[in-house]
Amino acid sequence: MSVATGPWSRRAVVALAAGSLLLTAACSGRSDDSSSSGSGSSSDQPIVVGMSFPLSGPLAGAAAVADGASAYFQHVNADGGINGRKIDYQLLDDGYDPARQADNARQLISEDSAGVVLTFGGISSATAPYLNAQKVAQVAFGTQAALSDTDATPYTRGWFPDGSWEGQVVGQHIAEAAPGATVGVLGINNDLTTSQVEGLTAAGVTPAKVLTVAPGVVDLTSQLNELRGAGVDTLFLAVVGPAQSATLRTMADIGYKPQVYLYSAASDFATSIGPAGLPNVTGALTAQYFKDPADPRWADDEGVQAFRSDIAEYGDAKNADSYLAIEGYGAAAAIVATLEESGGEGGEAFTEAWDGIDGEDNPALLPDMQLSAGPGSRLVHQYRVLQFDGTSWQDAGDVVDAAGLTQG
Amino acid sequence: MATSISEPAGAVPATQAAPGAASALTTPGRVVHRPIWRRPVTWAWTALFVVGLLLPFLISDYDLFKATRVLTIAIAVAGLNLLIGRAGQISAGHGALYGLGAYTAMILVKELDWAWPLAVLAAVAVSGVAGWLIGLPALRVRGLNLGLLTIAIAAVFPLLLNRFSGLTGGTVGLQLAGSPITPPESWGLTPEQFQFLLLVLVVTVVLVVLRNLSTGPLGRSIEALRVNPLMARSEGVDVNRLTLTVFGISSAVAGLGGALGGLVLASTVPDSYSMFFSLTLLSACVVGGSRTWAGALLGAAFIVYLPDLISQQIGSTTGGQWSQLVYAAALLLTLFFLPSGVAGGIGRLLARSTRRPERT
Repeated sequence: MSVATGPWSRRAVVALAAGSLLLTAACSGRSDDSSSSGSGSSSDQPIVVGMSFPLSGPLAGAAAVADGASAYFQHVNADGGINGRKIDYQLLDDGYDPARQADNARQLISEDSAGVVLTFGGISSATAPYLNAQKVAQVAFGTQAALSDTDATPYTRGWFPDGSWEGQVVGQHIAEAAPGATVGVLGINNDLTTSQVEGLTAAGVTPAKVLTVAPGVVDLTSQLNELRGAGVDTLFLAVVGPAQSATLRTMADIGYKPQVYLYSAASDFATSIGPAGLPNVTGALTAQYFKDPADPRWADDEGVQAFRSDIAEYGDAKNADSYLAIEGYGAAAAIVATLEESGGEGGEAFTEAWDGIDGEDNPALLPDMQLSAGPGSRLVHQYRVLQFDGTSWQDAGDVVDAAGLTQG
Repeated sequence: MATSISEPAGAVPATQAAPGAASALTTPGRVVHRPIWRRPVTWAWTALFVVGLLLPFLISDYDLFKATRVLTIAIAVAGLNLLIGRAGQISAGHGALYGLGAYTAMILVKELDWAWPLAVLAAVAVSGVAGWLIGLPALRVRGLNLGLLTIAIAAVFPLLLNRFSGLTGGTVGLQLAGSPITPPESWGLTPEQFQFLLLVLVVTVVLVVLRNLSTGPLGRSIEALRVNPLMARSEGVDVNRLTLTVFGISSAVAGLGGALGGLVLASTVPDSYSMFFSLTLLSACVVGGSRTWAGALLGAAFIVYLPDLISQQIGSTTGGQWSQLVYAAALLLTLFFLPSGVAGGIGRLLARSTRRPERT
């Protein structure tokens, strides 16, 4: 059927024309006042915080981060809000599609008048230019170095630590604990592994073998044999998802026992070491900054208890053991602390308050650590090497600050 | 050439249809060769065009931005319609060509400071050549095998973008401070209004060109290729050349959509052009109706608006994958009840409800 074929097709086009006119009525109309950017500043208005997260699609697991953040915002609202102003958080799904995240950013700013927008993942850098042009503060949940570039994107702030730092902290630990070790890296084939290897090298540890696999590949037996064949006795293991636990199990099965360093975000009980079998992980190390709510060590910890009760009351109780959820919970706490300083303002007032944070306690951070604006204006920039003793992660080193590390 | 290959059996009695290109096309022995600009456009499409021109002055910039995205995707889907609906070839890799167009335009604008119209034209050319090359294996494999082969292209494309990170910016991609597609100041339009109007014009041109390609003498060769390549060859159609031409045109059109999409968004990221996006384009083509041009618009609207709509209704941090499940179910039901796509389905429904006697 071509454009002009027959009455059926023509009617479809008529319907399309009529339908789009009807849709017009459903859309919001044009208003000429373009003063909507930035948050409303009157003292009794709610503070609008926009959030765009992958609630569906390949990274839907990140919904737990949003769940943790939402639980904290609701907790603050139940306690009366920020200086009497409620937090009106608007959560949208972007399915980890940069185009949908860009859509959401526009909706959050032009329809909801958000002064702060939270975005998840490396695709945050795709939305940064728009948010910066609108002078709206962006808090990005990503490890990419581009999100630390406050010269290029002055309104963008990164929440997680920069990905390259962890490699350096691990490298320093290896250099002290086992100089002369044959180091191997098994990671996933994206920029995460690249930045980790760069970090190791910067700390003076050049891996003898770096193997990368696609995310989702779970059986890594041949890679492990290759590492063993190369004489690797110290392994940085940074495959994510089910592959991490499967690999730890395989290592136990084939009797390959190098000193293992686990990637910080893949060392939690719920998804990594629990499924691997705790005895198989005993002795492993990790460079960590957040508490794992499932770790029995934190059962009586004030921050973790607050997280557990809030997530049970306001969020999904299933996330009570989720490392991702406490990441979001901690981020929301940092955002609320920033908004208290900025008087509820987004935009430049928010980024200034963020950069001014110094010595703020946070429920998600390990003991002896505090939030402060570190390199690249990231609030989380301290690490501590932990060792798994068979039941929980115990301190195995001093707090290391990224301010003392080489900055990429 | 036989009429039977021009219209599938059981379709509209096109020979009886009142004025229109189709009657000229299918009436045996009365083939009229009109210049491209003289071929008729129905009043319905004209009405739609006018609606498109009015829309920017009625709805908000946010809604326009979203509608502009629908149009850029509709361009790519129209390219797929030519390939799948008309020529009977299959490509599950058009997302990569869309991405290739976006990246080409973005690199030219960002790194080489080209004016955006030139960058868009260059992107069209690059995508067209890439599509022509993809067409080469299509000369040997068909059907399911070709589908698999093009899926591989879709899967490899984001990896290539990461590999050549010096040129493409790696996983972070390339960004501009703002879209280069802005109106001259004296016009008094917002960028969103201007971009939407531009896209309305581009979509119109693309649809008219594709329509004319598929109704002229070339169109009948393409139909023959779809129905039976052997028969087409025996009728004197150079099947290999035609296949490559169709792949090239279809890909160039996809690259055009991608270039405009990337420049409007002012950002290109590998995650935008994953294999999943290629398959989404394919489903837009099938859901809209691969043999109607209105289907390209409907299919694009379907894949852009429906996931958002569903997420708004049931998406939550605790909803898990429900929104995806509902989307999948909606997709399935649409295909089950409207096998010829939404466009075909609406047309049929209206025809039944109005019950107007067919004009003779």
